[in-house]
Amino acid sequence: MATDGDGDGLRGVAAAARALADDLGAGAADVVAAAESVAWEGLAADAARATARAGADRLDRTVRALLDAAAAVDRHADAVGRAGGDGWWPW
Amino acid sequence: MALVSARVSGPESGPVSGPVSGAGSRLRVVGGAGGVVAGADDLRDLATAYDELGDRVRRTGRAVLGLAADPDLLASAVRGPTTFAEAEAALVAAALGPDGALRGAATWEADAVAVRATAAGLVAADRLAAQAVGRVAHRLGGLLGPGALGPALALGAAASVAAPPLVEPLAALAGGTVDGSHPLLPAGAAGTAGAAGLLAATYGPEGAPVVTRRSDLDRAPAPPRDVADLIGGLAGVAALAGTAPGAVAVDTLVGADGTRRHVVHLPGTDDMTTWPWTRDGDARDLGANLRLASGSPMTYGAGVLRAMAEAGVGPDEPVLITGHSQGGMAATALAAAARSGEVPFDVRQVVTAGSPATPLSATLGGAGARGVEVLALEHRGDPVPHLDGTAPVDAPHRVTVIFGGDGAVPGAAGGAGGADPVDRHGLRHYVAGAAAADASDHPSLVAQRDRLADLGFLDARRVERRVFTVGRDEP
Repeated sequence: MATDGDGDGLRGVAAAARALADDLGAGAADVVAAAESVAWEGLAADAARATARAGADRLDRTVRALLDAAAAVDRHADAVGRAGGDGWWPW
Repeated sequence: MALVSARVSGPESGPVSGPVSGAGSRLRVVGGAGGVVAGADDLRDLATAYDELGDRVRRTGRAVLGLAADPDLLASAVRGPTTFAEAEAALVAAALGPDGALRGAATWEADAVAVRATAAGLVAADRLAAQAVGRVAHRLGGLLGPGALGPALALGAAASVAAPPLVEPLAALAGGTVDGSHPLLPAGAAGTAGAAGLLAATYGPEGAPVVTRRSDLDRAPAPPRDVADLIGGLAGVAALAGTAPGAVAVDTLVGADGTRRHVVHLPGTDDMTTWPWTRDGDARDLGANLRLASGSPMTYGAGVLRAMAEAGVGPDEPVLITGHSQGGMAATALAAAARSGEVPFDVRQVVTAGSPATPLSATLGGAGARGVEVLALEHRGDPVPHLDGTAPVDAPHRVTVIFGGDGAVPGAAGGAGGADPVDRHGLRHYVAGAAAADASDHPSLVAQRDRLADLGFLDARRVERRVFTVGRDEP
């Protein structure tokens, strides 16, 4: 891997973050499906399902955080690619 | 036919005798604990899924931190420090922030622990119930002898015929007859009603009663002339429950002078193996038994009251309620409610067959206009009426007739003197036992028959039967 901070390397970081987000998103779907498959009713089962749904929501937020991070890395790659810098640095 | 002895418990006791017939039907006993195990297994699987997801999320968090330290990313800082800082912050937040993966991993693992605890609690509760049934079986062993323990244990699932079999030992475990408290039951739950209420709460809201008129099932019996006819009428309604769960009947007795009285027949439990997760539209189930024992409002009772109203039972028309097993407990509850003025019916008499006494029995009686008396039939060898754990109530308003048994017919499996306690709970024996009571000249029974006649329940000219089914909306 190049270590000079080029655009391709940064795009790879963003892609890796997106891949991790996709993986977690699939996990959320799996766990909700597992909770819904508990084939009985009652307070405990309802609590288990509610826990799973809350966990899935939590996981969705983590996925969004990862996608936000990937987007931020992409923006950084864009900035690096446009002018070799974002203009703030003095040289 | 076998001639067997009977005993009367009441203000005046003495021997009576009468004929009791042979083989009869069995209670149906199915399922039960398997549902608990299946549910616990599902929860354990769910906990495993949580654990695996927690591992996955943790690996993701570490990978994200690795991305934040990626050499390319770090090397690019000098070429775009602002956007670099934003990207770094976003990556670190995705790993360590409030919604970050590493924090989420810990939460998933905590959830897994909670779900496993739920599964363990479910199994432990089931074990507690099994212990309760075991205590009942032990008690039955004393009543019936070692050879009867097998059937008695088989009856364990059927013990939900009435709440005390399940609940009373639970109460004992919770501190009723054993000092201290059980860890699964919170403080204050000691006592039959408390334990029953606790268990009933696991069933959640019951839903509204659904009362359906079933005129297609109306088959008016001959006007009753004695107690055997009354129990025979109950047996006829109980026979409907196989195809019409929740069947009850209101028999309107029309006298020669046109006056009306009513006999309400309440069969026993339809679904004896209902767990909170298998509950359906059957109102006469285990949950109803628990509510009955805990004194909680019961959809079935409300449905019976609605059926009585729809049948045109007037507030001042005398009512007699017959009940088998759980039906007898429900009859007692309804009579107690009527006596206290909670319901607008004039319940004057209860006749139970194979029912445990309930605490509400003590609230009946009284010689006034609202006085209620109870004639309780108990087949010797039928374990269910004994499972309240108390001796027959000796009170002026309650006459208990214990009939049959004594091994009078050795080896006659299923017969009155046979060894099958489940069979002994069958209504067929109770019709015969009622006939024995009718034939007795015991003063308490003579007084009961005179009372029934005075109230006009034994000299009607015709009977109008109205059959209803009582179920409930699934909540």
